[in-house]
Amino acid sequence: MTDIKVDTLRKEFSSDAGKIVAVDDVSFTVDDGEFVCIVGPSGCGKTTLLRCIAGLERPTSGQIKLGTEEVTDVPPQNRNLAFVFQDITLYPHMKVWENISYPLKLDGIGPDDRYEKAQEVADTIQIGELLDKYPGELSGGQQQRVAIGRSIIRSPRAYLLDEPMSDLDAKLKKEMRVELQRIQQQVGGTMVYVTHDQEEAMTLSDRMLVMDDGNIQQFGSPQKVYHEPNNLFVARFIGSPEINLLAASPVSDTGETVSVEDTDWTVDTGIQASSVPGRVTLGFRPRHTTVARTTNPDGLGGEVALVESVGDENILYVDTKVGEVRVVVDIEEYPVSEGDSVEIGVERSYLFDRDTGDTIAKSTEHQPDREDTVET
Amino acid sequence: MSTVSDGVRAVVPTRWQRKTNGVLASVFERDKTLLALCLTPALALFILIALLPMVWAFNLSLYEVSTLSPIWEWTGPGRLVDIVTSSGFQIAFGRSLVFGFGSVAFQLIAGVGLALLVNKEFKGAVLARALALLPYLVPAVVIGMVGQFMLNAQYGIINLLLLRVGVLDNPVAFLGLPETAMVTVMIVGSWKFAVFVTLLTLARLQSIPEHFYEGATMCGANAYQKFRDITLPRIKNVILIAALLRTLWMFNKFDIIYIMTRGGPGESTTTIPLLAYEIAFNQYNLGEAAGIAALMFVFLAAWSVLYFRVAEPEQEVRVA
Repeated sequence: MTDIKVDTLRKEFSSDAGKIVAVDDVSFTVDDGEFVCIVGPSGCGKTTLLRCIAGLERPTSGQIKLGTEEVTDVPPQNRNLAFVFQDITLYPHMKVWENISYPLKLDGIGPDDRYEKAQEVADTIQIGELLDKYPGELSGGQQQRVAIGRSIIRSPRAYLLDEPMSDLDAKLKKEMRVELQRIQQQVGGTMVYVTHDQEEAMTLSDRMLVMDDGNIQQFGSPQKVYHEPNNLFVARFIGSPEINLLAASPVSDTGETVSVEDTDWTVDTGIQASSVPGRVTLGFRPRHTTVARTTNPDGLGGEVALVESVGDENILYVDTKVGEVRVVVDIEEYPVSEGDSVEIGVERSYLFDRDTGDTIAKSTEHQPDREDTVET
Repeated sequence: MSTVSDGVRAVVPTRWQRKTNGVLASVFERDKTLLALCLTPALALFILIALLPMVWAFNLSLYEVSTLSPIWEWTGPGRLVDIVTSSGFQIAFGRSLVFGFGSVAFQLIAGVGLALLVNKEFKGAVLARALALLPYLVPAVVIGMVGQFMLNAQYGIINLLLLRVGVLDNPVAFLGLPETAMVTVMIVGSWKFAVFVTLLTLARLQSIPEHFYEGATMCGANAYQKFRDITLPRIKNVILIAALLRTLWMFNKFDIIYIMTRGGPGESTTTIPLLAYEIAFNQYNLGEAAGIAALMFVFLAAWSVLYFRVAEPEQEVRVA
């Protein structure tokens, strides 16, 4: 096991339209034994970054180090990294045990020893009874288990996973997530996991690396990324339902009160910033709100256009003068139905610089040590 | 049908259309009619140009028939035994084996090699693939003639090159010497048909997903191991089928040998088809020639059955 250091890594592709920068001089370190998710929208360069670490892509410039060894120019087959692909790459003409033990075959180990080792690994990932089947006879989840089995059989220096669960159905995904964490604890490996699914990233990672447009937007624990986003992009990308963003301007210099543009609404943000620019974006998460039914809202509010019931909670889509505002409320506490007029109270909020997108400040109300439900 | 609200009239089929639709539907819905309709032309053609001549030839082989005499003289099946035991037939059969298997070996190696080469992704790969398949379009006559020119001892380019490079001290008449004629004909004749193997193999190669190779790379496989564990299992069956077809066709090959050597020098390239030709059209002995052809047919049929039993090329590899 080893840590992974990536230093000013850059990867450009040439296309008919000219040069495309997929990874734009990124640097970060994944610690030994850490589970890091690289998350971002499609086309943000996350898979390219992973493939560079694996050696399947040659970086344009920059350095990759595994532990103390620099591997930038080492061919992938000599890096001893395990890679689990999005398209499950099992060999259809080989049985499950042959697939799992394929890396051992390449090391010249005989079939009997391989079978034994494959049995061991298969028991770990709970597919011990499937060894003599062909991949074509397995379900998607079982196939992905086999692929994971193949990746752990040779104790690699680190595991790289490229959206391994994107083809699985929602329920299976949840199961496999738990399974993957269990496997990680058991084998104790450094894992880099690429996904476009922020929920997956939130639940799996020790730290998550949020990427957009070839750049790292934020690298930190899920809690940190969720509660203290670096910028508008991270705030919008992480958390579901999506954060509410309203164009606003500060009433006071500290940003304690802001007025929402194109309205006479003011919102108390609870923010004490040293300086606030004139053009800001007010952000507040749907869960950090209160609602009150009122016949004639004079503050932030409007008519409830849609109520989505998710178990104990309702997601309200409220039509306001400045567009849709999403609110998550407890069904018991706030029984609201479609067509009601509501006023929305903001409990915690963020201010972003509207021109740069950077976070200016957030409400002081939030205590980082407080146990918080991180909605995903 | 009625007029819809915005005034656009819906399309109403005419009576004639309804009628034809009905007839067509009844044809296509009845499996047996459809089957008969599709199979009859091909079947008729097959009977006319393959089955009847074959039966005719088998029948012919039991008679003594001369082109110069209209009378067929019954000889019976003993004639076939005579042919098999004759040294002329046996030697020619030996040459056929050499020519057939030798050619196919060459075609497989060259064909699969070429397929692997042009399967790579590079600039101009599509053009390269098209060019690689081009020889298949060249008629055997042209290949034979060009081959003769190129191999000529006095003005052929092959001799010129080999002399310049220093491989040869004196020009060699490759087609004029019994020792070299067979190998030369094999190579010239196979050049074109190697592309047949390329065609089949390339189609299969293109269907192997790239991530299979990447997966193997990450498992630590080198180029040879990737070929052995991913490529070969996938193309094995198509190669087996190609090998069978090519053996059948190369055993029957007549044109390229006839054009280049007419079976010579001496009889060094007289394979079974050339022997049959010689007996039929130079010795005017149609019955014996038919007998040779019939024996050839039996041999190839037996070979095919054996091949399918042993190699099992119809066993599909698991692809999913």
